[in-house]
Amino acid sequence: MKNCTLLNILLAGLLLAGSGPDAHATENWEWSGFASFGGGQINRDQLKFIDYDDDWSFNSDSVAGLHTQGDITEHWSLTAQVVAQGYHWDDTGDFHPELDWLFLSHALSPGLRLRLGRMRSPHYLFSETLEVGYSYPWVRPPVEVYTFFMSPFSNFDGIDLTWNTELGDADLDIQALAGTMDGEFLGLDIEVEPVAGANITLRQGEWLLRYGILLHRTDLTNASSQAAADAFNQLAAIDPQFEEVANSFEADNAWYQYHALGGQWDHGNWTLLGEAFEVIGPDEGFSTNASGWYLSWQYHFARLAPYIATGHYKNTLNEDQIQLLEDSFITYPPGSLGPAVDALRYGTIDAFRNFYSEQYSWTLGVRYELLANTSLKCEVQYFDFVGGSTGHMIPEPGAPRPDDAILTSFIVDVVF
Amino acid sequence: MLRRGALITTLLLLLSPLASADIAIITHPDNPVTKLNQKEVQKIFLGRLRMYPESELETQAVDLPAEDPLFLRFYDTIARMNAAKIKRYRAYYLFSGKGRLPLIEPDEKHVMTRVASDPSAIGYVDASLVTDQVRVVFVLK
Repeated sequence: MKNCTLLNILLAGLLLAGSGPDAHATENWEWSGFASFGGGQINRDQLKFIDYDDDWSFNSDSVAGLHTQGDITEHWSLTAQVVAQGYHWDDTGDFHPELDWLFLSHALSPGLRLRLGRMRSPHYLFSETLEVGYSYPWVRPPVEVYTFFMSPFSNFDGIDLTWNTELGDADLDIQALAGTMDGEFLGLDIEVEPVAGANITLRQGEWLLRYGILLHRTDLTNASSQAAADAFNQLAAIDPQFEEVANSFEADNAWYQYHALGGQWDHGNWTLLGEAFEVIGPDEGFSTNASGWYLSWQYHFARLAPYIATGHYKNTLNEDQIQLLEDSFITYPPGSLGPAVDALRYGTIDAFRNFYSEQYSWTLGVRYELLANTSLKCEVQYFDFVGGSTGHMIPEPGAPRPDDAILTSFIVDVVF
Repeated sequence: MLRRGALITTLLLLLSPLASADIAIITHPDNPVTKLNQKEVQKIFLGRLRMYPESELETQAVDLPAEDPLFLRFYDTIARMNAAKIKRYRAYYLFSGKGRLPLIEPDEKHVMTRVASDPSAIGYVDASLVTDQVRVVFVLK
């Protein structure tokens, strides 16, 4: 489905371009690429972060990508990028190649550009280069903002318009986009149609400020919870309130808002970076409300750049439904509707609560420029879990939940 | 001690015109743009201006290798960026699909040859190397 949309967009673009590849194309193709090899280990057993656990492993942050761009007519160019990641959240297998970018680009005027095709979704400052470790200071961008639940939304198929202009002395970039996205995450099937939004970036001297808003109209289904949803639908005959619980396992054309604010201050030898986001879910159905922020400071010596970072992340799921189920035990005390219904109610409260996650983290790391195009980064990240959750780490089923954990990781990033 | 200080100052003053020679921003003589300002030069070399102002001609920036002293002076002057910052900025720019990077020529002579033969090219060289095969659109002091 997604590939059909992409193909249609590209064909429309080629028609707009007015002609196929010409002689321009043969001499103008440029190839480049990037690769990262990383490893890590957690100081706790029965706990995972990406694919890291208490043994050293090397797939979670490792990635390789190939990028090409070339002119196909005087004003139209084509860009493609294929990326193979060491770990996927959608079970497509290790180092399975995926099309990250495939778009036609057209310069409409000196500062205005149109792109059509598949592009990276510009949620945050580094969303578009998430896989290019060389482009950011850390082993991986702070997980408090670059959360894993955003992985189904890495790319969109559609159209975007970028306007580079000026506001007083400052450079102003405005990007507007619309398209569709789909993906899987931990058993959830997610389709977004449409995604639409804009972001504004203001640069002046040492400063950069960015605000972005994206609206997702989302269909979300979860095959494993279908039986529970059906059971609550049957219970709706006893009390219509249970229908609300049945609906909360899924999202149907529900609008989610993704707000992001970011800033960077490059002053002499140091860089201060910070971002914050908030996801506002609908009041009905599957409702997630997430927010997070990070602050990072890095000092640049000649080849060595130590950094510290801290952040906070919180995500709650279906809070209203948890309350509704708890209240249902007052109206229908345990035993009054039978043991199966009690198990369903308790089980659902537990399942929704399991999605709650909150953490603080502190990171201490260093980047070292090995070669002109190669950097080595090593970092230690301390996770402080809040409220009995394990934040961004996932415990094995039935395993105890520790209050904290330390992740030690390194990465070698190359661009060529 | 004072005299030695004065001598060094005099020497530095004598040497300064050489040590900080002007940088000429050059284009092909057929390029419709005859003048640029520093902001426009910065935007072209950082990939934020994809066509020459008030024209339909796309820009083709021609760069020197990052080790070249003129490269360092050029980016320090127009954008206050050192070689490492430029490298990180370009990795971000390229792989975030914003556009293509400048062509790199091995030295200023090759920059002159490239700009003299390509109407869309724009480069920078020491002002003393400029010939009538190219047009100077801006001078960085």
